[in-house]
Amino acid sequence: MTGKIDSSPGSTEPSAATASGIVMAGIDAYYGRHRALAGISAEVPAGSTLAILGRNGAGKTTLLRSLISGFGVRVTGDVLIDGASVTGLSADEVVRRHDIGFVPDDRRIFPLSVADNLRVAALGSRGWKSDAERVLALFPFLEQRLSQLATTLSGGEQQALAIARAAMRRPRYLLLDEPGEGLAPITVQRLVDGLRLLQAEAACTVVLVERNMEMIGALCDTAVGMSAGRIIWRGAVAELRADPQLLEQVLLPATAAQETGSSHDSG
Amino acid sequence: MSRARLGQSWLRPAVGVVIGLVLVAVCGSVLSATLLFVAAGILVSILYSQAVSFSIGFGGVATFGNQAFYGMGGYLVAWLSINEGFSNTGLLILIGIVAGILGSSLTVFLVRGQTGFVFGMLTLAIGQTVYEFVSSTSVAGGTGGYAGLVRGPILGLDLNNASTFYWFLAVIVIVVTLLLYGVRRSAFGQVLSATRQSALRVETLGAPVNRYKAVAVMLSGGLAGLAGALFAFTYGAVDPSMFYWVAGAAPILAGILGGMRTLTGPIVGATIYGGVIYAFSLSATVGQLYVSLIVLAIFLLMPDGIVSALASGIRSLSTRLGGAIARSPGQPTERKA
Repeated sequence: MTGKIDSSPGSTEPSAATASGIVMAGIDAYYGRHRALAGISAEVPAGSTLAILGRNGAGKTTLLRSLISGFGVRVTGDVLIDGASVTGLSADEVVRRHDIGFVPDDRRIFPLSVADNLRVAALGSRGWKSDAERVLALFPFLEQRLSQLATTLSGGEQQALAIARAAMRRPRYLLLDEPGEGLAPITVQRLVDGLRLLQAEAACTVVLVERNMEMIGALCDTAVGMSAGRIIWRGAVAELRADPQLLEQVLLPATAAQETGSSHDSG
Repeated sequence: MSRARLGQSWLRPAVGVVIGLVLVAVCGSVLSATLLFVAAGILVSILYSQAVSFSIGFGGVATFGNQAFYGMGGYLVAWLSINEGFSNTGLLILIGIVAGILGSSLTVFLVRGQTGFVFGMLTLAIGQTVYEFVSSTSVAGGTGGYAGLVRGPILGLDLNNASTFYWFLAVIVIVVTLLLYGVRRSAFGQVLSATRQSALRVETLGAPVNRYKAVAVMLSGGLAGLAGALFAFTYGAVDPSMFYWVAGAAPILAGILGGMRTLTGPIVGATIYGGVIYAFSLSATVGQLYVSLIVLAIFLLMPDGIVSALASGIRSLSTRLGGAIARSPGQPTERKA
């Protein structure tokens, strides 16, 4: 269905199960009794980069959270990472077992110093200082702020810190929830530069929820479009960028009016 | 980037130890034997308040059953000393700590899977169950508890000397404070503190949040056991009131008074709370009323605790002074070319 909008539920299927990478097989996600995702099937091969697009309430953030069963999301169906099912595991187990770096929406940094934010992310690793030096090389502007209370940083610096924190434990998978939200283009470019360095350094698989097409274009090869908790389109990012009409259809699908949205979900 | 900038300074704890030792020395030299006994009781209260403040204030784990671990530490020491003839003070104190750790470990096991208010209420229920068992059966001395514990020597020191015993307790408080400082600044402490702010965020970093909280409760339990053991040595007797929920509320109150999330808050809070109680203890009829009014006034004026209010006041004063110095006409402001 590449390149076409499809509003029928659960119609997108992964091409084949892979031993490495992420495979979602018919997953539903719930906040309490509210179903936020319905019959999601998709695949993110190891080393690839996938963008998730859609309007508010489409289920983008929930899909990202479902991959680690985090933030109170209850998931049914199968999420396979590296060929192993993670369904039923707690978020921290999924993150640890599969070396996942998760950057949640709204940055969610701790009201500690910049250095202590990085130290927390190392979870007691003795080599945390060398890891901190490594991730600070991605975002050199943070080096001058090490002793500063992280909540007093600018929005862009906080976002860079959130990404640096996720990169502390050398992730093989990087899940990013709207890192460019509310940031100036120059700041987005600085984040993109850091993320590209990280990708090049760790060759990690990236799943990016984002609406900034510049950022998506710089970081991702493939994309899926979501609406009302379902995948309605999948294809190449280049295809989307080349066809404004298609992009509009993905971001504002015809089914938008029927969407119920989710109060738990920014995406 | 210099690695030193990622490191920590040990200047502050060193200064803190010196100030603590000076205060202890001043009190030790001016207080009478009776007041040294009162001070010993306050030092035990400080340890107990440090224990509960660590889990509740710093760790954000709502544990309301610490009185069980406090009582277990005190009872085990008293029973072993009085009934079994144990006289090794160091070993008895260690046994008190282990009793607190085991008791808190069992509690963590029994309430596993629970969080927040339910967790807190279950720990309180467990504490009350232990109280009922101790007070209504003859297994642990019944309503009278145990009395007649004799302080044995430790490292050649005669703990029956009021001044020596006071110094002994003071050194333990300083060591525990340094230990808590190290724990709070350690990677474990940083993650635990972050967990208090948002467990969900910490989970996404891969931290087993419940395990961190369990360790915090066990550490707090061990310290409560230590406080209980030293209570037994201080007063020479234990009774079931150690297990009663009111005994568990007092250190929480003292912690809130001083500032539960700060390192020195429990020290300041327990000292003031203990001092106020002693000051009004002679007036049995209205003494409790005065204590309640003073505590209420502090809560209303300094809701984040005395230490936080003082720190905020000092910061504000230094900012004003800094501004005044900068505006001073006698000060050169800028070198001109």
